Amino acid sequence: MTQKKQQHRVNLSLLLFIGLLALALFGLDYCPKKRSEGNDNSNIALPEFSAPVVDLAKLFQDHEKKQIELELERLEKVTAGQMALLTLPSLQGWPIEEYGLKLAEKWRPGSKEQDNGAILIICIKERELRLEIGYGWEGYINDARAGDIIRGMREYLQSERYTEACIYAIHQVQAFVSGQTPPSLPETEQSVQYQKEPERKESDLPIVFIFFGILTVILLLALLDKGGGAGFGSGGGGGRFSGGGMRSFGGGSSGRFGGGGGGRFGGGGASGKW
Amino acid sequence: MKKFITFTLLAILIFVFFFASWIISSRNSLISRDESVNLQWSEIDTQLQRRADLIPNLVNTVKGYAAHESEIFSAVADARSRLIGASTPAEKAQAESEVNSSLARLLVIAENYPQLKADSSFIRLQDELAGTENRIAVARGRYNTAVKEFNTAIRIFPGSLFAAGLGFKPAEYYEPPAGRAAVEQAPTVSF
Repeated sequence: MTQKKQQHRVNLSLLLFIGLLALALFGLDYCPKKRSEGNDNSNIALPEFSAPVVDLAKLFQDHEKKQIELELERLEKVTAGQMALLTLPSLQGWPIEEYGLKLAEKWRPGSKEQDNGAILIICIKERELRLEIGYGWEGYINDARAGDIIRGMREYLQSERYTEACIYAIHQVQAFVSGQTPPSLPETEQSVQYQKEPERKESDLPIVFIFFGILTVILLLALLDKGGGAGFGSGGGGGRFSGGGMRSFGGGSSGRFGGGGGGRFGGGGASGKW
Repeated sequence: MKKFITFTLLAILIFVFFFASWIISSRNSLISRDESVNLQWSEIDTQLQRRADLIPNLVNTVKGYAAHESEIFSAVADARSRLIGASTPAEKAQAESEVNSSLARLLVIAENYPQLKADSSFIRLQDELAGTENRIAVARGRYNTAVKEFNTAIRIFPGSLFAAGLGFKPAEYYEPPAGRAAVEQAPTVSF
């Protein structure tokens, strides 16, 4: 009888070993899936998307900022998209296109489904500006139209009427996006095609398998160890894993301003100088 | 003893189950990386096509003001047709850089014609062209990142076991020869 019990122990540890081995294999496979988008030129210091208007160059007084924010709010209501504004003292040597894209990839204004976002960037020292247009709005605001908006802002900027320049741009974007008449430019018009990136479902699979595996192991242990008393540590193991599974749901919300909605950008828009 | 045999069989079964599912999920992950390379490539392709479509418009606009600069027009047209004919990433990259240099020359010539420079359709075509070039640069960065991830995945441990057996080959980077605009980011290639 005692021998049989001994046998049982050996078997149990064998099972456990196999289970752990399998988990380790999964772990190997599972780890590298966490990926960052784009390559990381991480030495660009990108500001946080803490408000619709991020005025690092201190161009606006409080009431002007309010006014711009109101206009942006209205644009959001009318177009269901999202537009953000950033003013910079200097680009510190970065090409504005590259800076704009990195910023767009970080802020991601616009909704995840429609990519209906835009960012206006104004740099004081270089006297450069850029209007970055999300995928979803490229059909309404093609590069030529973005260029028109940039050129239209020029005369305001030249006389340092920054608030008016921004409001002009916001109105233009709103008009193009909500305008009943579809974009009708001569030949320059090209409908921009792009493919939706397929959702990455793959990472769900191993979790399902792991759960199944653990369940199987637990069930087997429970069956075989029936009457053997002593609750074994499997409960704890299970708990640890469900914790691991939860990791993917995170994403704390902070403060009043919700930040970007996950819109994607592909480098559309236009840049200019004044 | 009988119980022991059942037990061992069960253990083997579980192991096989885990091992098979591990292989399957590794393979799936390689496939999805491969697909993401294809997807990013098609984005580059789309933008190159868009650029090729814009060129005739630009040339025609310039012709309207500078009809006698025929040499540059044919250079641009040649480069464009090579771009359309190219198929592999290396060929496209080569053709793209030819298009770049011929377009740069065209735009230098345009500098000599003030009326052309003020032409609104010329200005807007340049916006479109600049926008497309920027999109190509972006698509190129994303494509090369996808290629790097895929190539790494088939070279490091789980992938390296069966990538060759499952028919996965390393993908080709998209690297136009030197001379691109400042928008370019240095591609990050390191193993």
